[in-house]
Amino acid sequence: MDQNQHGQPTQEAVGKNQYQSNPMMAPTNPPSETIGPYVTSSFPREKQHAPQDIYQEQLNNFWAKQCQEIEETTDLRTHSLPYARIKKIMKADRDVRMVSAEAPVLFAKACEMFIMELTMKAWANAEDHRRRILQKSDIASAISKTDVFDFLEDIVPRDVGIPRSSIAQNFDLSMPPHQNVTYPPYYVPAMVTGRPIPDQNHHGP
Amino acid sequence: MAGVREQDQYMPIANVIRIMRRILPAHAKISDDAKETIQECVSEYISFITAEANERCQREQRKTVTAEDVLWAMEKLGFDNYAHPLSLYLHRYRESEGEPASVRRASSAMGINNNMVHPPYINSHGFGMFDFDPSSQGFYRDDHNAASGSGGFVAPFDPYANIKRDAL
Repeated sequence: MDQNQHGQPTQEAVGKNQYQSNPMMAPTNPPSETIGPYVTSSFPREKQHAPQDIYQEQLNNFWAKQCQEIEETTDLRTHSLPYARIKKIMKADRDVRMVSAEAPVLFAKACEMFIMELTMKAWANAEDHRRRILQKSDIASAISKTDVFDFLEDIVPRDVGIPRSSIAQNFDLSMPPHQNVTYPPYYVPAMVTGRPIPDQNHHGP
Repeated sequence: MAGVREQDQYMPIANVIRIMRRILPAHAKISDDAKETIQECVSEYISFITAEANERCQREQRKTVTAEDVLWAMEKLGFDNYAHPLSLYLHRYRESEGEPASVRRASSAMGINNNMVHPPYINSHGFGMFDFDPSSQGFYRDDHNAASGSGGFVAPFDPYANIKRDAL
């Protein structure tokens, strides 16, 4: 694969790095209580940047293709996900009173893109490990690497113990292996959250 | 029973797998726990966005969560990449309902962010999509039955619904 050609002897950060990147930094990351299931990290929201150029290219192609597909679609009545089920999930929140008919229609398309984005990123992880079977740990890894997927952290560790080594490999340059992967919901200065320095072990000899 | 209720919490697994396969290479296989995990993630995604959209709704003292609220919530929560194709999708969906002028008036009346309007896309496709039978849209009653809590039938888009709600 192309990834094999990206071996670098140095530990330099590759690609755009908005935050201070200091491998020597000792992260101060005490466990903290979660305020609620929908707490949003105070990290500044920005376009997602994949840790490596090849992933960024895949991502850009993905979003360009989404717009293209929408432009070219002639039958908007075709949908992949049932509206009634979406509405039921929306109204599972008792605070939600009424839902317009368009909202589930929009969610059907949004969820399609969400599933494909998450699957694409998870598959990249499976390929990194030279596997052809997509596993839960691949999804966990994709979630850990993407800021906007913070709200999904609770879903993955609860059911399956993620192999610590696979997580440590992805983060060994930014935090100790024993560090809990779940991040606090508030801003942590200089923490490179969700954008680990590319692990050279994936591409080296 | 528990099984039925559990199923109602998630998108159908077959639909989810079909969408996953659209982005995966042909030789890829998907483990069962990966399929279930994606199912759970999708439901969590819907709940996460809906909660944010609903908060905006309540702040503005409205009762109905609209597609615009959903779009706003996505941008608020960092899903910038989604907002653009979805705005495009929403506009094309409204075109397909065959009453674009009314929809546009209703949209501007709601003070939709101009950033979400994409005239070039609309102009490039014109309005050649009037192949839907208006009678098939049925009655827009679903929101009025919301109090009963029944999942029921999701009515097609009513182009005058926004105006009606504003009048209340």
